[in-house]
Amino acid sequence: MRERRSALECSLVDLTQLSVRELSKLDDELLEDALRRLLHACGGGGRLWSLNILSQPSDKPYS
Amino acid sequence: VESQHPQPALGQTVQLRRYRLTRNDLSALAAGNVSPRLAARLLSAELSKHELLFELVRRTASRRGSSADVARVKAATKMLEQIQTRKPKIIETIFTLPQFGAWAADCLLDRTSAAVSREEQGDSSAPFGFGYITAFAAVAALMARHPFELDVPMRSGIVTFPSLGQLHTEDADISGWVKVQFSGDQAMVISRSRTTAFPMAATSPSSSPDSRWVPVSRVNLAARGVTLSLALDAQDPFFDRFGLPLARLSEEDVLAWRKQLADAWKILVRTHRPKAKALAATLTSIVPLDHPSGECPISASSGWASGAIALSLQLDSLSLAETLTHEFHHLVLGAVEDIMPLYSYVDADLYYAPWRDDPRPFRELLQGAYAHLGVVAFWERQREIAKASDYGAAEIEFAYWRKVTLQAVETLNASDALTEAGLVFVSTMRARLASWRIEHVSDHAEAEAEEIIIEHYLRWRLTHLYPDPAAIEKLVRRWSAGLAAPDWFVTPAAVVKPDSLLSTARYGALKARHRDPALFRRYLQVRGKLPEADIAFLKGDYSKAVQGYLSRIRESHDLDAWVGLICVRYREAESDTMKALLKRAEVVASLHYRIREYGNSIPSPDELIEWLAASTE
Repeated sequence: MRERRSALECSLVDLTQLSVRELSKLDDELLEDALRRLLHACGGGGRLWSLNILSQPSDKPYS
Repeated sequence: VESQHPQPALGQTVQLRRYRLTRNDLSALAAGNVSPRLAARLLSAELSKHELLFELVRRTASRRGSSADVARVKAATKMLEQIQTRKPKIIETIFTLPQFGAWAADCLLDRTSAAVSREEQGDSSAPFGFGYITAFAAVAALMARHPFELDVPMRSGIVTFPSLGQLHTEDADISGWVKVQFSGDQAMVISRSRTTAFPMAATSPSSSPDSRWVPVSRVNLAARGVTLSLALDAQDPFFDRFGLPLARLSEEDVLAWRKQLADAWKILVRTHRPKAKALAATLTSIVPLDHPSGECPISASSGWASGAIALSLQLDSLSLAETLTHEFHHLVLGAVEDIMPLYSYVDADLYYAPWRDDPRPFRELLQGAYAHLGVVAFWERQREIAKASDYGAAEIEFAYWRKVTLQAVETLNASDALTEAGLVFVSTMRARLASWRIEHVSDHAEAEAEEIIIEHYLRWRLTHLYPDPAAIEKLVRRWSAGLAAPDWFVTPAAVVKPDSLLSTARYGALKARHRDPALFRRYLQVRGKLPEADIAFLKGDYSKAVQGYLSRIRESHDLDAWVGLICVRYREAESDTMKALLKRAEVVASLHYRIREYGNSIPSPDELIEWLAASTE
């Protein structure tokens, strides 16, 4: 059993109060860390989770 | 679930805060209860994510972009700064666009750098790169009526103004960069060969018709005081990430979409009001997809394009309401995951997801389970308000989804990959689903749901699971020697393979039986839609169905017939042995296949089942 990670050890930073100009003053490290976390959440790829094709009946012919 | 993490600072003066979701917040969200306060928190987080992505793109462009891109990004950034000082809401609107996130993600995931040279050579299929930020800046400036001049990209004569529409210039064979100018009164798009006027009315909701201007349709729906306002956008180049072709909408198509959306919205507001309110706050764009002829309707969402739901026109408004609910949950969970991690690592294992024909990774199983928790809640409510004629279908949907979703959540709950927050989230999902499991549904509904569940599960196992060959050889030897079977239920784990799908026709017919009776009748009546044995099975003529399946299995290694046969046998005797058989169906089929290969007399499937089952008694 692995030790569970603390839930908020790396949660997203609220940037909504910053202007476009202020964003340019953020540390590289903070931004890169945040990107790493986003990639963790999405797997780094296309981030398409949910192609949902089975919820409704299909008229697909038998083949 | 509280943060002890230090708050980051901006310079000496501004202290940045981190988003927090308390244990109660996580539990509410996991149960599908997205209050206005939580919806606002998630929306704010998604805006922060897009701001973060923007700044990362800006810095990445300055390090890796071409000199032309660097200049374009600088010009656009300056424009956005200027507009923000006067009209900050417009910049928020631009940053919130789902296509903004999709474009930024493409830049950061390096999908664009290889395309730069193609783009500069005028390749019309080259992806948009860093410089596409000018298109967003141009839209912001047009909305703010802020005079500007920017270079924006053109592909095959088409200039995209994200969220507004596309201008089709007469330079249909030209790709590259054109200048967009706005003097304060009139906007012009200037290419090397000509100048095209931009219809300024395009920036207002009541845009004037102009043959060169193809606006993004806006849909505003109001029902019982709840308004849904969204774009019906099948043209934005960054809505292609759903991996499915965008629909080409005629005027008639747009009307059909408006009608189905309006009717679905009434259902959602009338019956699922709190969710409808949260959906209205979250959804900004519907991306119409092609509905390939003969296929079932589709839908999709992407965490890089939060606020957008892509889907084909659904069977009816009730199906659309269900689909919107499903995709809404994906958007919610995407935002939760952006705020905090729910799992700390992802293994390479693939899992059974009852709503998919293919094996799914852990994170997709979590996403799917959460989306279907929303679907369970949807059908629970629909069941309560359904007319007598619709009650049966709603009850079967409820019985079906509550069982398969709980099954998936049990898998998730057993994982040690979950973080503390992830465990809170998944265990709450589990508790919510368990509470639905004790609600009464009729025996008929349970039985119909169970038949669909078993068919899908068996088909998935026989499609994707390959038992250990050594274990099968051992079984073959014992069978051939006339010995009793060993404890076959402990056959080593099978290998999951993602390919070779079996026909989904029987599954489609089983679902159509309660959802779409006309389609179900076509399954039974139209020659070639289903094999004869399946038709007998669906008509309840189990003896004839078994004969058909056995005959096909005698003739060849017919896995589809094995699925049908075990479905019938399970229906006839839902014993512990049969339940165990379900979890080893691929063993029986593989064993039968190997005995046949050895050229021995071919046993009947039932003989093999009995022989194996005897070892468990």
